[in-house]
Amino acid sequence: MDASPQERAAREFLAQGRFRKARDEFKLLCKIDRPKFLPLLVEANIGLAREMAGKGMVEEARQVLSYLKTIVAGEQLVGLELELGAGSATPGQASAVPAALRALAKPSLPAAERQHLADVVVLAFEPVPNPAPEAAALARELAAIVSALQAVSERQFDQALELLRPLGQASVFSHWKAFVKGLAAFYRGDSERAARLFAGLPAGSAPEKAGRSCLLLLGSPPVSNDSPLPSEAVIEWACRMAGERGLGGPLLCAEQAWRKNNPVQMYQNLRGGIPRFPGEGPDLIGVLSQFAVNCSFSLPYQMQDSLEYWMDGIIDGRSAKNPVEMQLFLRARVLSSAQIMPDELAVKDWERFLRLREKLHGRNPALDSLAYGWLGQLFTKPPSRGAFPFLPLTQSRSKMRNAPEAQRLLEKALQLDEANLPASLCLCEVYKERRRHSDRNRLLDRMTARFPEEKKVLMLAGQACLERKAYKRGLDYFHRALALDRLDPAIPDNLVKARLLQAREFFQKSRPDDARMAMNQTAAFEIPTPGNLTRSRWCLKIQQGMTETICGDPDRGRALLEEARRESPSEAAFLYYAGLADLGTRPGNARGSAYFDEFVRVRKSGASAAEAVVLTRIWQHGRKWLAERMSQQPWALLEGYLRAVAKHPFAREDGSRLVEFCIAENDFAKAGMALVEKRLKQDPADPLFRLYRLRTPKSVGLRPEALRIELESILAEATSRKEEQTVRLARQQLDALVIPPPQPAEPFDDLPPEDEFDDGPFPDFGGGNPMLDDLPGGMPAQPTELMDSFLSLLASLPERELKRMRQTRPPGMSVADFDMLVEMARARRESSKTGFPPGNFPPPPSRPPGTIPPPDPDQPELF
Amino acid sequence: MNPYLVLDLQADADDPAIRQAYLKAIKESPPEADPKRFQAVSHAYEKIKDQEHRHLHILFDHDCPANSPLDALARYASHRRLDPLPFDAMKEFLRSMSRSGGK
Repeated sequence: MDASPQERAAREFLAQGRFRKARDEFKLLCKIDRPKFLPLLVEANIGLAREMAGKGMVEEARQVLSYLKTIVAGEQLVGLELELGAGSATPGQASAVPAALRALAKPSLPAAERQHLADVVVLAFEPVPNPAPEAAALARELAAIVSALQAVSERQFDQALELLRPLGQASVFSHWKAFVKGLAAFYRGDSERAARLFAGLPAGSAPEKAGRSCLLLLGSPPVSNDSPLPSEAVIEWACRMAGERGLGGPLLCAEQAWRKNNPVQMYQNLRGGIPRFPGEGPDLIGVLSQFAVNCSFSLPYQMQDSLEYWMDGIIDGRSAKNPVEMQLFLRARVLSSAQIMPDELAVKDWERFLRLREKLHGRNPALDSLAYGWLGQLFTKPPSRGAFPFLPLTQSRSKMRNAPEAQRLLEKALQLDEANLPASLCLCEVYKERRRHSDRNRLLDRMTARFPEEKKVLMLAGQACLERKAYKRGLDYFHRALALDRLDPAIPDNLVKARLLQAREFFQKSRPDDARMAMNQTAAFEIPTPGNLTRSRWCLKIQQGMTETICGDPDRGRALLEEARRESPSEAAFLYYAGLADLGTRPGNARGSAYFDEFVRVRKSGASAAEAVVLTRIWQHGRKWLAERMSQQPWALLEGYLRAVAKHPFAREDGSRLVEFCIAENDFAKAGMALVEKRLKQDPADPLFRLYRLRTPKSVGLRPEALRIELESILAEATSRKEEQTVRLARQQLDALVIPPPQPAEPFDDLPPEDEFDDGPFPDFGGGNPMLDDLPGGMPAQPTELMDSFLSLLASLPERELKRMRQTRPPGMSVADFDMLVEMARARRESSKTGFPPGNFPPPPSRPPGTIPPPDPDQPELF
Repeated sequence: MNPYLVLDLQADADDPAIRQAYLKAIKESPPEADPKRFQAVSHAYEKIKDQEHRHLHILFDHDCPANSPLDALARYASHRRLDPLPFDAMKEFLRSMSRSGGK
């Protein structure tokens, strides 16, 4: 017989768990057919009572129970009665547990109700002193479960397991047995077993619900953005098990915000909801604080930016919740932004951080020294173009970002802790850079006394001695360094250099025997590898021969040089090396050498890329012997040689090394471009050389869109050729390219044809595409393009970066001018928004704009 | 992760205490038995093994210990030897979770 619509509705309400509605409907239906609908009415009422109890409305639930007792026999209600009375049984009052056990003992009880009733009797935690005979076994099992739970609470895990042993698989409490075993494994640190046991509990049972908190703590399954969000109660109890109360709500909200990619809201939820947050201790609050602050270092750029921007507001508004928060924020700001923030701001923040730390943890000079030393060291790095990669740098010719401030900070670091070796070494460099030779020598004297066994210190001291012609002392330092490390090739290199200089001095003092003895002592450090340009036999002979020729006996000198010529790997290499040594050894400022004249004759017979690589190394090695004005001839010779190489096909690897050299040594730019051009005629798609080409002034004319397209094409080509290094370089350049997305109306109209790159010679390497070129000394690009690029850059930057740039705007640019530019950029950004998903924007640079790295230090042997 | 937490140390522990805690931890979790824990312990020890490293850790450590706030809770628990809830609290825990339905 078909059910009536009213019955169908009532059954649906019941199935949906809408118990109140179901109850009302079944009440009416009972008037029609009581025997049929009474069980359903009872079920709806029981559901309603449980729902009320779950919401804490225990009194209301008891009223429902009272009503139920009027329509159904009491023994059917023992479970509910127990649930509602759980934990609140008063002494002397009859317990419902024995009745529930009797009900459990009946085999006719449905399985679901049986499990529920079992949970209810366990959760009553009541003793059953005189159980009915039919429930005696169940009472023993119940007592075992309760005792086992208590034993776990007291860390008596073995006892707990022993208590559970009598319970069989078929026991009505078997899921409780599994739960207790899981708890024991959990607290014993056997995570895998615990996770397995908790995960296997029957769904919806009381142990399974409790197991959820344990599984959360076990990270099983691992928490991820896709995993279901646990309830506040689950999190709260997980936190309580980890020793902290009241964290459920804030953690849940923080997790929700985090999953919505909102780290600021995540932080605020923790900050507002947890009184002790942020903290520094090795506890849960400390770990949450560490996560909430340090996540800024690993977030995607835009999320990182929003969090750091918010932190900036807290720092600048001095509205930190507590000193720990201010300290954490200041530290994070300096660590993440010290490279680009104004020097005085970096120093101010860092000192504020140190002062706060001192207040919180007491004075710590060694830590302060390390902190000052670090910032000082940072200021000795080359100045970053930061947000203005394409604008001319300030006129300072210093290789250091801020040498005077670096000196101050490093001196302070040493005042605080003289044992700070990195700061001492760095301060030596600063003194050298600032030509404060006396300060440097005094510092080195102190360092050699304090660090007598430190190789770096001895080497520095030795080199300083050579600079001031104290050769004997210098040799002493080098020998001490050698005793500490016999494998470092730099030490014998310096010993040889010192001996040769000493020999020259002896010759000048008319002590030729001493001079020759000094020169002979270099033989101890001679090595057979011709690639070493200091100690290989042929190089040593050239240096000795040149010293002898110029300062001592020319005949002996010539003999040594002839010997060197025979042993040299090539005539050109010998002549070029000898020419450089000749210029470097001869007193006065000689500008030419007979060896170079001979080199020109040899070169006419042909030039090879492989030999050019050797010559570039000799140039890099020997140029330091020459005063600047003396270097014209060797430079011109090498430049000519490189151009001669570029006239013929050459091996790609040699060509790449030569171009890298030309990039590093800007004076060889034209030769470098000729090499690039030649190579691209050989292989127009060569991705590495196309990348080199983008560093030429030709690319200045390229619109950013075209530049991006060329870079993407290079990346694709390099990927297809499996050139990992080129792929990496191209990616770096793309990352560094901060430009807006292409315009839809004129898609890539500005992309020049491929052959546009090939017409005409490249004028100069300097001043390549300003958005890529990070080399110093580059030629400034055209003003209109600069402005265009600048506005594009501003338009693509988040507000926080703009704020930073406002502080670090180029010299001579007023705040008002800057703000006007920002407005123009914003207008441009708005106009370019239409139709473009934000994903089209390239990721802003996560590192300073990429540059071609220096030549591979592991390059193979020279010859 | 906070190295003091991993090695179960107070934040003002000195060199011998740190060394002792490290040796104890690797004895409890040798690499063949628990490679993950061993790695975490070794990493933590490297960070704070002497004063200079401790200072470097204080000044420059920017490790993010987790992937999300809840993951931070799980990782904290994985490095901490948790004490069982007292029996009364355990009762409350079980009843509360049963009533709330874990939802």
